[in-house]
Amino acid sequence: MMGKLTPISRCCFLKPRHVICLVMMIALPSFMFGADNDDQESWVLHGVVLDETGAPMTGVSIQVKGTARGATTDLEGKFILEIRGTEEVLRVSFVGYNTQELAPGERREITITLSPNEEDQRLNEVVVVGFGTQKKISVTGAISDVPVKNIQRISTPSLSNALAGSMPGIVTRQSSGEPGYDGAAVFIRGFGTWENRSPLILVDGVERDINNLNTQEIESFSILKDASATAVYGVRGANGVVLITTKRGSLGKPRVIFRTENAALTALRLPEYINGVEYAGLMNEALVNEGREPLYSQQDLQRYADGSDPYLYPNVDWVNTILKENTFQTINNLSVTGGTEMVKYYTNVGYTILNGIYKQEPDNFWNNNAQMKRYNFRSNVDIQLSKNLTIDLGLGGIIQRGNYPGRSAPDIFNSLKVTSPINFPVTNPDGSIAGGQTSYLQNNPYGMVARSGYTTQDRNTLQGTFGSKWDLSEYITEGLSVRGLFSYDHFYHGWNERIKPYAIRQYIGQNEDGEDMYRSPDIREEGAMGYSVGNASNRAYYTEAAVNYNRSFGKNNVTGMVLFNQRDYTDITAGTSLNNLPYRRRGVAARVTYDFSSRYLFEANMGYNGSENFPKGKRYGFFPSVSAGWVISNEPFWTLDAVSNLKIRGSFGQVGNDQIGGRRFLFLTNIIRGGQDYPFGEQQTWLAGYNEDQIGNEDVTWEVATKANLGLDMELWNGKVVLQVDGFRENRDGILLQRGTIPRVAGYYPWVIPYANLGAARNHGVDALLEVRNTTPGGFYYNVRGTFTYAKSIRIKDDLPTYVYPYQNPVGHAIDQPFGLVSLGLFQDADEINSSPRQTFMENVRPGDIKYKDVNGDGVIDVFDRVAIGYPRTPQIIYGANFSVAYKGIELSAFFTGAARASLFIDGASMYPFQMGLGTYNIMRDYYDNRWTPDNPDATYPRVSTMDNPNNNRTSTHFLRDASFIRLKSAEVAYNFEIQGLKRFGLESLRLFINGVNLITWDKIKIIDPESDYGTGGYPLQRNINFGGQFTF
Amino acid sequence: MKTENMINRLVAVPGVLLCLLLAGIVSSCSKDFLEKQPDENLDIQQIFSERQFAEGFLSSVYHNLPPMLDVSRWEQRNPFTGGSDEMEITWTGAYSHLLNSGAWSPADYYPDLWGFMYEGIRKTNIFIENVDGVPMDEAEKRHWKGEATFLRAFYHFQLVKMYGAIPLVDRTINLADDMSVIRRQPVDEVVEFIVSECDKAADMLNWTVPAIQHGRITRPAALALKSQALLYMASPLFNGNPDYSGLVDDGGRRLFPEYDPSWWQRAAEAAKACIDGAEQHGYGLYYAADNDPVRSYQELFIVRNNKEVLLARNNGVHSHFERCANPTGFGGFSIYCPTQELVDAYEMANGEQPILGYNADGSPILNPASGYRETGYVEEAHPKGYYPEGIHNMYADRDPRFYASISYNGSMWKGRPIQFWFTGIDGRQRAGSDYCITGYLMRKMVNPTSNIPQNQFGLNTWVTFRLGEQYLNYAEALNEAAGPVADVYHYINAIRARAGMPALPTNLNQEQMRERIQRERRIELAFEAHRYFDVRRWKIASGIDNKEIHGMDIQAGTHLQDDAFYNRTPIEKRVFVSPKHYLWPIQVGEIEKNPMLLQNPGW
Repeated sequence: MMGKLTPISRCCFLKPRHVICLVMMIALPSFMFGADNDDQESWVLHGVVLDETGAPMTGVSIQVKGTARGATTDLEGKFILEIRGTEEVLRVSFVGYNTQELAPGERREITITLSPNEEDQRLNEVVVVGFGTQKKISVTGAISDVPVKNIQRISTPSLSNALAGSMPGIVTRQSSGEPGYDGAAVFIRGFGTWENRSPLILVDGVERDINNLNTQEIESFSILKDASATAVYGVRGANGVVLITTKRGSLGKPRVIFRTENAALTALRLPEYINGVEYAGLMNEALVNEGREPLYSQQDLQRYADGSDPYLYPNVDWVNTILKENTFQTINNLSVTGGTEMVKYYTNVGYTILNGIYKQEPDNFWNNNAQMKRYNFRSNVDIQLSKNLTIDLGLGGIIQRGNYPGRSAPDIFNSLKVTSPINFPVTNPDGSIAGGQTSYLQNNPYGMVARSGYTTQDRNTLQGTFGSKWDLSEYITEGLSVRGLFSYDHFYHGWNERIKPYAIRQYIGQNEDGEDMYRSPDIREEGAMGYSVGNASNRAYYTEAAVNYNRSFGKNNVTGMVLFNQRDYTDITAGTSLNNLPYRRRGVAARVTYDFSSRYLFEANMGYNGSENFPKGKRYGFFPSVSAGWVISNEPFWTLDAVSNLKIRGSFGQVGNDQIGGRRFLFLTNIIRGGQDYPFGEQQTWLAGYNEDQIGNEDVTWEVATKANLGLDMELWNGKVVLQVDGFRENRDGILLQRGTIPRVAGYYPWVIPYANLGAARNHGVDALLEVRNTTPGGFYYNVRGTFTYAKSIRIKDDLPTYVYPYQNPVGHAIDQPFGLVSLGLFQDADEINSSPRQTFMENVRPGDIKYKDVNGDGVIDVFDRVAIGYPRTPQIIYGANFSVAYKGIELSAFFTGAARASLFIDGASMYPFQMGLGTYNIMRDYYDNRWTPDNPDATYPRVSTMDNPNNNRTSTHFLRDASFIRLKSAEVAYNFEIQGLKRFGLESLRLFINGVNLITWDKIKIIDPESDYGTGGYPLQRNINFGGQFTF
Repeated sequence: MKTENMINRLVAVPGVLLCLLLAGIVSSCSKDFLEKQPDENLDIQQIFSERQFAEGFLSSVYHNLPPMLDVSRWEQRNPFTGGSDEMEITWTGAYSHLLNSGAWSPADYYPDLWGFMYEGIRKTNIFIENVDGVPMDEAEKRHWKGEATFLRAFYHFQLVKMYGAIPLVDRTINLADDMSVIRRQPVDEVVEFIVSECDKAADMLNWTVPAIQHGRITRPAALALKSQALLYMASPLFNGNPDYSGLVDDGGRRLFPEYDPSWWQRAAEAAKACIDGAEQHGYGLYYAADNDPVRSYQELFIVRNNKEVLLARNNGVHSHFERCANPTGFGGFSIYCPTQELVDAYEMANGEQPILGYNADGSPILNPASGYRETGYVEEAHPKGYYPEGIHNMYADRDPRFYASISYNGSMWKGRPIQFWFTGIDGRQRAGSDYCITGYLMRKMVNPTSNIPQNQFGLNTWVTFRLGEQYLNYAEALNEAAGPVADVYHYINAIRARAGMPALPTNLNQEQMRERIQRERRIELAFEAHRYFDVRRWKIASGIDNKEIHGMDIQAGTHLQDDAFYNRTPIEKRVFVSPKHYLWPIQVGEIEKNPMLLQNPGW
């Protein structure tokens, strides 16, 4: 792995096709005509050029020094050359590699190995920017990328789960592990607004889903963070931009790579509930706490304990009844890549299966476990029609099939929270599903998983991209080119529900004759398996046309770009005529860069966009940005050789956001047909109601983010140490929000109140990257890459009422700041209650109830004592550290991610015992083991109550937890085999690896995953241990 | 070299075409690419340019008639039945639990009638302000306008009952309007508005509508609302209540006025006008075909739009209501549980009160003259089949309305006796979180023909106004205005006669009559969402809603005649703080948006 190029840089020196063409044009004729006019003894030298990894290099120029004779290597890296004497010296050169001179002497065959020129590579390294690429050295905006191989080490079907901590500026949180629904929320530098916060995600330049991509298909992954980088996206750029490119072909003979990886998945932190004896005992304790008689006798408790009467005194561990320890995931990819001067191609087919953790009922003819199966097809072809004209065609097909039980994962995990171990047994003596006569809780978890039938979901995506680039250097002026892009994406989602209404019966014991008795009528009689289908579908057209200019005049390097684009997205199966209308956007983007001698860099970007969301005359907005950089290390006075690169850069500009959570045509007033209705007549026929659905605001326009960024890039010892630090500040104005000051008396439905540009927020922070990499002379390679992101968003202005107590106003606090009461601990005795401010949530506060702080000092505890507590759920700090070492063929790596300044409430019915009535809902063991009793006065949690305890069961610091964590996100051991014997079978190389994801977590919450949503957890995240091999042919 | 140039040029041609194509796509997109607007977009002007659209708008105005059958759900609009001494709802999620434990606050407002009613009021205002322009039959338009006028007044009155003085919104409030000037209007002014609107609406409305229109507002509904509004205004809670004399807004207006006895007179006149008018147009007390008192009273709430109904809210099929009210053994949830206190309030068939009061320990003071016994079991079934043999003596020989209103242990329901004892089919033992907590279930309004396991339900209505209530309103107002004159006896006795109960003893004084009327309302109007408000407007709630409520011992009993079950068992100690809990709190959010909106005393 010595000094292997990042994929981004690799694409750079494979890309400059003009270099190859140039070489060809010079080399071919000279070779053809060179042999004629010489009569010395000569022979043919057969050679092959390999790169540092031993792979053949195509397009390498071999020149006989001092002559016109020369050759270029073919697809297999081979060349032939006429040699006219043993003194002749060959000059072997290739962009990005050290030029080598050598004398073949009398040899007739030669193998030449080129070593990479790190300095050259660094200078030519490019990064993907908005609507193009730029040399990394000349970038002045804030852009981060990640070596794709780091992402690929995390074996996940959803790319967003591999991003946390991988690059500075990205903030993610994954809250569910359900197959097909396990994607993480992704934000760039936190968020600057509280309505729509999602970044714009572009795959090959087109808005596409991040999570159904196959990580093996990715060539580069970068994020655009500041106004300089995102201004070209104008009204869509304010929340940051994620740019993903897929792999493309490169010159060379076909290279076949087969990669297979197979993982054993283990659910992380399944909820741990108490058992039946504990549960029954706790019900007794609740009654006794309130001065009532216990419900269960010692004999009853004994029956729960010994299982002597499992039907009438059940004691069910529901979690282990329906969930299994381990499940399986496999990801397989077969790719072929290669190319000639005319055609380069990349094709890949991927096959992914992710299984769920539900136990399969053997008697079912259907599969009741959750499963996500996905086929990814991708083909990217670049055709060089002439030396001036290339066209490229990209096709992606993603066929995803999901299988789920008849009930949804939220329903099932909710049933685990709801169903107590003693509610009813799993099944009755007759094998039917057991249930109880309860209005809201007829939810036997086993019935829901195993007997409820199944649902299949098909999600098919077609992504077609057609582009062309025409170099006009020869026709108009040097460095001018035009480019066009058209894409068509289609998404189809169909679902097929086979829901089985299984019988639910309640066993009530045996009669005198010893026959089993059931409550009559049955709670539910068995029904036929239902059948229903549904579908949703959408499509998007995207068109882009650009003029590019790129030229150097001595030390002056100038580039320019003007680009037009428009998008038309239609929800084909929308339920209303309004939503069926296409969603449209159109705009122009432009960029000018100027670079003097690679020292002084200037750049201006702008976007001019229109959004249909706004009224005529207010549709188009102009979003400019400027940036500048100073590469100090390129100054003549710079003599500190150790610092091989030092750049300061800064940017300032504006970008917009026109998204407001799905509402459209904000300026229009609309009356809905079929709104709130009423039945008239003796037969009560519903008469469709017409009512206000939206009230337009004629003045509505986009949010504007004004962003400033100051950055420093530094490299020591030719890239052995890389440091990138960015500080940023963003002011978001005109945040589109619903007015919050309209009283209910005015009679508006809450949802019709118009949006207006009334909010403001400020977001600031720093992000940084530090990378150390080196290969010792002994061939030992090591790399440490650390990233850090801190972003804090503050609500500056909102349309909110006057708060009776200003400290309850969310303005001035972080966006998403939670508010709640401040717990002072638990009351220990009546005296303490009587001498404390009166708590008004409940008439009779008892020892063991939570004691709150009287924040406003008015002598009573009420809702006015709620204050800002804790941090928002999305972490304000995310960091990551990747460690890799390699020696000979062995590679070891470990990747840690962490988050800080985040809070989580572990609340909900499983932590609030008997909130829904005595004997309802499951109870978390953590509560049980740490609850207050007179014998356990120093408890963490309050006493148990017989029903909802409005004093304890409310948002307060008592249930607030620090959600900081550090996770060993992934680790890998890999071995690269160099077995000559295998080459006979065409196997160039073989890499075997074993890696793991979510291996260890250090946090303060323990009972659920620290990335979970509020509450006590849903479908758990998975730990996976993954074995795989990569075969290169 | 030449050939290469040739090739270049040849290839350049498609290249140019390609770029032209792309440019073509771009330029072909017309200038109004972003202009596309919804073609089916309707605004207010369009709505009121077509009869059909306007009718749809009026349908959405009706939508805000509170769905009072939602007694327990989160989205409930009726926390009043469970919040009175009539009922305990087992499901702990019902908002009535917050009312009963005193744990409600201005910060939670799940029933949100405030918002729901003002949404309705906004729609009526839009409708009334725009309907004149609709091209349609003028007579029909006039009737629609009358309906909307009534609904606007009705929506205001629902809030008057809860809050007393409220902002009066008689025109649409636009977003540009200054909403900080909104104030709570004095309660008498709001009532005067409601009264005059009812007069206006009555003028525009027909006495009856054809069956296909059932559910639409008719003239007697407007008259009934007027009578109810005046009765509330005349009552001690609003009329000269010293507790509220200090509630004065920033303009110096008292929100609750000085005592004025003429309100009673006006209330009596309005009720009489409603009764007379309705009876002249075919309305009357409902009697079953055989005049049987139990059947008459039961069918009154099942036979939709019978002659006694002045206004009913159509609810479509409301299976949830039926489930909540049915015993678990019938597939129900058993959660609408009447209290022992209500059971005790039913007179004996002979007109005597079985229980005169309670001792300090909660035990009842039995009335020996009544014949009521709290021991033993009935040996013979009721001759008319009101109850089977073997039931507890507590339930024997009671007011026939008891048998139509309450399901008790051993009472017949859908063909079998109900078994509320612990091990019974409908008992607590295996009932999970939903169970009958008092040993009684609400029977009134529950459809005996619905079949829960087979998912068979009928259409439900909620009787908002009925003539029987007007009889009681008239009697009460008249007794207050003029004492127990003949008409007072006449109308109370008419109600009792329909129920199969003996007439009131003659020679009651005004006070005795007042107490009789209050008892009669409690029984006759049970579960109709009157009790919660009646005890408040009479200002007697602090003596009623601050007590322990009771039921039978559902944790005991192995058979029908197991004495262990028939023990009065405390269910809940209810909390009522005076004067705080007489009126609802204005939500914190509303006061924050408009700090000049005065909060009710105690909150």
